[in-house]
Amino acid sequence: MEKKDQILNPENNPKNTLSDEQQTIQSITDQEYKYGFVSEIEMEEFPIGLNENIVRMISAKKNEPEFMTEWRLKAYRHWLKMKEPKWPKLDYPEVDFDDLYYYAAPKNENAPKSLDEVDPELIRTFDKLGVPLEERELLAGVAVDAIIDSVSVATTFKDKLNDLGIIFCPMSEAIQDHPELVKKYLGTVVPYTDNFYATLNSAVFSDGSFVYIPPGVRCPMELSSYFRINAAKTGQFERTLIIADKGSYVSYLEGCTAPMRDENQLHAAIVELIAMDDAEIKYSTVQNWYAGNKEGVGGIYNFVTKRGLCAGTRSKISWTQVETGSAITWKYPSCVLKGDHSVGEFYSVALTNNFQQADTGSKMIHLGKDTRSLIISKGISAGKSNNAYRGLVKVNSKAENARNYSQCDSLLIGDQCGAHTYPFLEIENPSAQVEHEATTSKVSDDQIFYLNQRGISTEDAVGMIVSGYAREVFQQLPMEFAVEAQALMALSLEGSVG
Amino acid sequence: MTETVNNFQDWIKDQVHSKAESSFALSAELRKASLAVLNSARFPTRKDEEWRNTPLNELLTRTIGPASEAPVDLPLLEKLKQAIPNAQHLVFVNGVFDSKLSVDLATEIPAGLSVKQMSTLPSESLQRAEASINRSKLTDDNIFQHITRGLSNSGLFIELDQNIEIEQPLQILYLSSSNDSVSISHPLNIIHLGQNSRLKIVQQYASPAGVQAVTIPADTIQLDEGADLELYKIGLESESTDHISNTTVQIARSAVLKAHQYLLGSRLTRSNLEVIFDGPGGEAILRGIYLGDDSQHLDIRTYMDHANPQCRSDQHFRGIMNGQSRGVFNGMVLVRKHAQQTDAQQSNKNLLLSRDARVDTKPQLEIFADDVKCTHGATVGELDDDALFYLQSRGISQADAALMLTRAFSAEITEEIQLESLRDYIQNEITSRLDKIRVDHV
Repeated sequence: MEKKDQILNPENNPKNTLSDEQQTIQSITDQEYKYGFVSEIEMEEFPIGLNENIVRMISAKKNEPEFMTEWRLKAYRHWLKMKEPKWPKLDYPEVDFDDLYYYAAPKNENAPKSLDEVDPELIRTFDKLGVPLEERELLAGVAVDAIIDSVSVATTFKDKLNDLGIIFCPMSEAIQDHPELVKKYLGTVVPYTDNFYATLNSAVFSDGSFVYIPPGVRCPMELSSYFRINAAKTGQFERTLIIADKGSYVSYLEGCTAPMRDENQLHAAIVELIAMDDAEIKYSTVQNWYAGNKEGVGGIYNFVTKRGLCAGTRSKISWTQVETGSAITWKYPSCVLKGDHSVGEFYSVALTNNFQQADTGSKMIHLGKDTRSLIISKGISAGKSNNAYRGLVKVNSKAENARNYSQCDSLLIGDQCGAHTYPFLEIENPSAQVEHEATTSKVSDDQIFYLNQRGISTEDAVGMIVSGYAREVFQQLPMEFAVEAQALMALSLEGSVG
Repeated sequence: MTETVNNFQDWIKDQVHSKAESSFALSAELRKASLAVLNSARFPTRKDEEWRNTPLNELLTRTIGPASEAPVDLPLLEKLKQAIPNAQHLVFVNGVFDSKLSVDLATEIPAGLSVKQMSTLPSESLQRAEASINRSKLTDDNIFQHITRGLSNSGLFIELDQNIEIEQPLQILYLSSSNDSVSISHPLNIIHLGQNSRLKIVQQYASPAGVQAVTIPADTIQLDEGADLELYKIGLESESTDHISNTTVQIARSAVLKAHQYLLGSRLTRSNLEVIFDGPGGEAILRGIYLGDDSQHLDIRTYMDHANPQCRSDQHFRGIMNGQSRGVFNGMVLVRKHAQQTDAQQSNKNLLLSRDARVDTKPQLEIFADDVKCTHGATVGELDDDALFYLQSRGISQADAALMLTRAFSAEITEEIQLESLRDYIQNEITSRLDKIRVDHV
């Protein structure tokens, strides 16, 4: 490699201990988190720790009806009996759940009625993140339900959606305005007993988005929410519920960035999707929370339960995720294919660098007849990170003619990282056709040399190769997201070739 | 032996505390650790990841009787020997080496090869044998391997000198017999091939229909630099037999292991095979078929530890499940940090022939090196409609076409058997089982 460099860059001093590549690696690994800033908004916090009182306080704060308070308490009592799971291939110090704030909200209590009323500091925060609300409104036609820490701050395009009968609002508002819908669907896909983090979320969730698309309506714009963790030592517990009624369609985007903090922060969210007959939900995520510095200090712990229920016949749920952030990612977006002819899809790019650890994948549970599922997972490990795909394809004995294809590829950059694949295939019906394939590869010197030859710098070459590698997934993202995702990838990856 | 009739768990405790005079395969020192594990009698449950798909309840509640003294089924033995007529035959009856039915270890074993009963080993040889055990380590440190180590009263130490190549295979036959209670056998073998030596071993486990038995064998295999071992395991035990085996193989620099497994019998089979590359340039080729019918449960677990660079492993396992049978494949390929230029392939394909059959497969990769070639794949499905139709359009009945395609599915593995007579034998065994399935389906 060094020889090639000399040919290409004759001015290179061969005795220079740092080759071009190594320098690029250094420059990238030295890169600080671009979105690391703290917005100075006055925060309101509850006392530290968790007990029944805190749960009641959260519920009371949000002025919730009795059934919600009871539901939260049931979850909390169940949570006390649960143990944090140890099976993922993740290594992190135990989280002290008594040393967290369970509620934080911007103190500005008067809910803003328009963008002008939104705290200007908040708007600037979004600007720095590259999510200018006004711009989105004007250019992209995206309705943004922006969430800072726990309370939805601004909701745009509400009126337009209202005309179509679409409900798109913060979860706390939905509990007030549409308790019948919330009561009917909340916890039906992810019950409060589901798993340690989901149960915790059920007890203390603060806010999130609620979407209801009425029968036959095709949501005219991409719905979007930007999650952000802001206050230090604050656990973030959103809960999102999306219901697509018969024959409807919705595409939902979720993007996450968080500012730099030295202490690890906990995030335990839940997303529930329900698709009725002929309905389709497309859920896209770009997650770029703070991943810790290059020594592995700090960073978000991300324990998320995402599950979609294809309840109706011919319903479809499609998950797309680009995961580049978080110190720890534990996340398995799943589809329960209950309706006959229903379809589940999962497209994922998970990138880990430095000391990041990701244990992610998907579950496809085939219950109905003629159900189909597709899993495309692209893992990229660099630095000293560990990246695991863990997936389950289960075909129930009554699920006739189920089809699944899974492809899990890993790309290793450098010899200090790890890439792992743990697929589980559990097949109880002979008419099923299930295939799983996985490959492992690296960005080879030859590939880079080929591009160098054509005058492309090593940094750009790596970006190109990785973009090409993850293309299948990027293609699934809505345009404006795809651009952002590509930029994020380039930011986290360029030059980290070994 | 005590007279009491116990369930499996109590039987273990009973054996650990038994004061009866008995000779053991291993030295007291090595047994001690295993007995301590047995004392705790903690059996894996569904909560243990490695045993998630293989419930042991039925085995653990089986009533265990005293060691069987029923006579051996000699015609069956003769039939088994015919699988490789030219082999050196070594016979175990109910887990105990039977010198009368075997070749004479003192006179008939070729020069350079030594086959000795563990219990008769001089202390110096025993130390060598136990050194192999001490070097090996199971990642799935299950209690069954400790049953064999702690309680086994019989086994063979097979040693091959360096630079010796032996063409004539060793055929080790394990037969069980029983009257009316379940008997347990736990043979323990240690196999050590010297540098650049070459050996073929065929292990066959069998029992006549109706025999109730639990077989818990453990083999420790060490291949020195450049050694080459062809190892076949064939499971043909009765439908009332449970079989749990543990095999570890250490492969030194440039040594080669070819291990085939054909699991066709027993009610429950769990075959645990762990391979570790002790030096660079080693090679391990694993092949196997599990063919289940009725309520059989067949579980193959492999663990391939690429601890050194430039090694190659290639695994290909196929499952054919009929009736309410259940097949499990759990394969792990671990590529450690410095194991660059590893080439690891793993493939598992399964055919479901009936409504109630079930397959759980878990081909896993853990990779910590970047300059590697690793792929794995798994499929589960039924026979291809188009292929069936093609054959039917040529006047072949659907049942015959299905049989033909299923045989072809298995032949891709069996064709790789190097020993010709053994290949025919296994293909015949598979065909006769498929014929029975065909009759059932018609």
